[in-house]
Amino acid sequence: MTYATQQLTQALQELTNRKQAAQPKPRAFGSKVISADRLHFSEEVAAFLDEKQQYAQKTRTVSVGSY
Amino acid sequence: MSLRVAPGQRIDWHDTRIASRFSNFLFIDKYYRSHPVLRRIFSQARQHKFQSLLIESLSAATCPLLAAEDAALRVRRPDFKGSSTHRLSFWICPPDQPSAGSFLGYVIFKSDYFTSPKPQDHIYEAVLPPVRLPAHNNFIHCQRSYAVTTVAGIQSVSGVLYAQQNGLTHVCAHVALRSALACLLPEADISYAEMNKLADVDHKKRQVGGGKGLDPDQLVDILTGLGITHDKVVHEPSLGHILQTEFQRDLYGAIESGCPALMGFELEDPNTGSQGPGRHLVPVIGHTFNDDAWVPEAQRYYFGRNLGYFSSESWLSSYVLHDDNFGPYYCLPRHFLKKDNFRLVLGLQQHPTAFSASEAEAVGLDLLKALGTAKPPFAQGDWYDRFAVFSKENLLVLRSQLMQKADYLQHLREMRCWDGASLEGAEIDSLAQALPERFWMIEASAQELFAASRRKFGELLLSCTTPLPSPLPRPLPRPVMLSLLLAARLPGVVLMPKDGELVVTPRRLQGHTPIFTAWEDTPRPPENDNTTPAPSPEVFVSYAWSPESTAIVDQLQQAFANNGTRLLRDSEDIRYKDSIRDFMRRLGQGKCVVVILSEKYLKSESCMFELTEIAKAQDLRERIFPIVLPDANIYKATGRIRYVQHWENEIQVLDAALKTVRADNLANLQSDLTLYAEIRRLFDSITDTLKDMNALTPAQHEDTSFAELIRRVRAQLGGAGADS
Repeated sequence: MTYATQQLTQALQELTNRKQAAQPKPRAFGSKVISADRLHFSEEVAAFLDEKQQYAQKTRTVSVGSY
Repeated sequence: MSLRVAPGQRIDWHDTRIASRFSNFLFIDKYYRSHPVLRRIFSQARQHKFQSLLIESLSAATCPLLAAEDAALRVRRPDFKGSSTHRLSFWICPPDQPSAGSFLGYVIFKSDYFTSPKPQDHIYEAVLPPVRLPAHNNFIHCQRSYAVTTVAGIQSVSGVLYAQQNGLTHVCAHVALRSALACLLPEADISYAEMNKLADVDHKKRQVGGGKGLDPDQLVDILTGLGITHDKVVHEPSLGHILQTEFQRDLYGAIESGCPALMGFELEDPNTGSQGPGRHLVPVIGHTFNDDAWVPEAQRYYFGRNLGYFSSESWLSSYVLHDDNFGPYYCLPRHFLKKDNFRLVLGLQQHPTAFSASEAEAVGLDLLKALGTAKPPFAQGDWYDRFAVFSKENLLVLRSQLMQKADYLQHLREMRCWDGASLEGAEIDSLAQALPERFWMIEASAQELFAASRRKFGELLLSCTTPLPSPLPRPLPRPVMLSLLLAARLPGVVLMPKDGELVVTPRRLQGHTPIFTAWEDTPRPPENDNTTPAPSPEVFVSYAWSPESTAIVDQLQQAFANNGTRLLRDSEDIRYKDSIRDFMRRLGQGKCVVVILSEKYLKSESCMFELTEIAKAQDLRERIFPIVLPDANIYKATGRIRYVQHWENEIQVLDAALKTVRADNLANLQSDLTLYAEIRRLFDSITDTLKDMNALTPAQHEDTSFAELIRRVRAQLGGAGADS
């Protein structure tokens, strides 16, 4: 079992144990609002997108060879 | 007027069955100069079980397009003498006995004559349905249906148009473009003259052929001239343009949205001339899928390539493409074409987008991980928590595609949670109000949910027209992300941005739901097509009237209805005074019959009559879809013998009773005796076939809302054609 698989297995097991111990929750209705401040984004994704866009821009007019 | 609808003159109609000693090889060697691509197309017709071949000749005098093709050739080659064109059509019926549904497809074979006595042959066009279907894990999303005029009337065929270059007025780029454009243009085709006009090829000052093709700018000119937008990915090491990502993901992003892509690559030809290595362009029209692909796990754990998620593209095993040199519907293994050879992808789009599918997937990943961590209110169920765990551990499977609002809303209407819950109309309406006509959908799943069950945690919808800022700040600011996000539907909740915040609304779908299955779409006809639409598909169900079987039929009926298929059952489809036997015989002839086998079924005269009718109509294994209840004892020989004994006993009892009365006017009772004897005779072979079929248990079917069963039934209804 790989390290990542072990982590996933452990996390799912903890989840199951917590659920079994928890009391049933009442059904909620209506809507609620959460602040966007609770959302955190990654630098890696932005870096990937940036590099991809820059490459696309750089090669947009490249026309090499004939098909 | 296209050559497929031009009036033809009949030459012959051959019986092509192997039993009649027809050989594709002999025939093509004798009449079509051993043309290799024609041989492949004939072999595909053979796989479709073709029985006859109609040959017609076409004349430039009655087909203006053919005349225009010849005129262009005359300009390009003044020694052009003329052409001979045959339309060969394949039929699943004996010669001269066409019937509804017996037309399989066609190929137009053109021979151009010059001063040399030997003509130059090529396949001008061909359309056959793919041999393999989604049931075999082959997905070709962009098929079209075509009307074909023959001496036996107007016929219809669905598939992706294939064509070959003649090397003079059209080359590989033209035919690849033609196949791809045929998938998108309203007319489902385009002439070479129109393409050459847009590419500024006049066959005099600017020619193609003889090693000269169309350059990428000319390809773009043609697309732009036709109003088709595209994503372009280039890898040109000689100019220092080194693509850092896998070109396969860009290719997949295009075709998974239902559009074709063009892929260009450089040849490794030892006889390279002064112009440098040759290049070739092919249309990519679909892909195959392997549920058990080793790649996703191995890439990450053995070879250190962790993207932070699994792209659904990792389960793709081959791209399906046409190659004008070799023929239609070839499979290119995902990793066969190395980046050293790859040069160009043009992903065609019917509608412009501000960023590509792979970029949408990256934005989607960022948002999904943020939502997994944020733990919004109402997101309290097991399945939201599992989504959050998979997201945190970088184990989400993501699949991005460009969606039309109408398709997405239909997907929501048909959606059933694993526990059977569905969305209410008002819940769907509130989402509908917030959505534009088109958007990116990024489906989020886990490996086991996605690959094996074709199900997901939910999906995230992104604007496809809002551009990403340039330059991109790192990380992307929250206002930018919220301007891209239209909605997210995750287990138990829908989240939508409003005034810089997220509005979270609880929803009844607390668990996993099916992924979007575009591949089951019916091929689109051209806009000027006048063929009659096919009737809605019919699926029969044969079952004994018992509470357990009836409950399964009720669920089955709902599941099929959700997939746009009508399930015919005796209690609803036999009207007052209709013949029950007639319905049973109709059921017996049905292309798809779901049979719910139970103890009561196997001992019921009516049920066994239906089963023998199905068996007598042949192709039992293809047409029957069994669900075996626990009390149907068909897997052990001793169990089956009990049923044989039951029917032998019935025969003896009825036979003995008949002998006690006068024989006249007892035809109906005698026919019952004949039926019992027939059940007895066929019982062993039918149940032997049934026990050998991998029938899931009722509980397994119910767990998946009959998804596997419905997939297989729909494949059978499709008529013909997996992962090769």
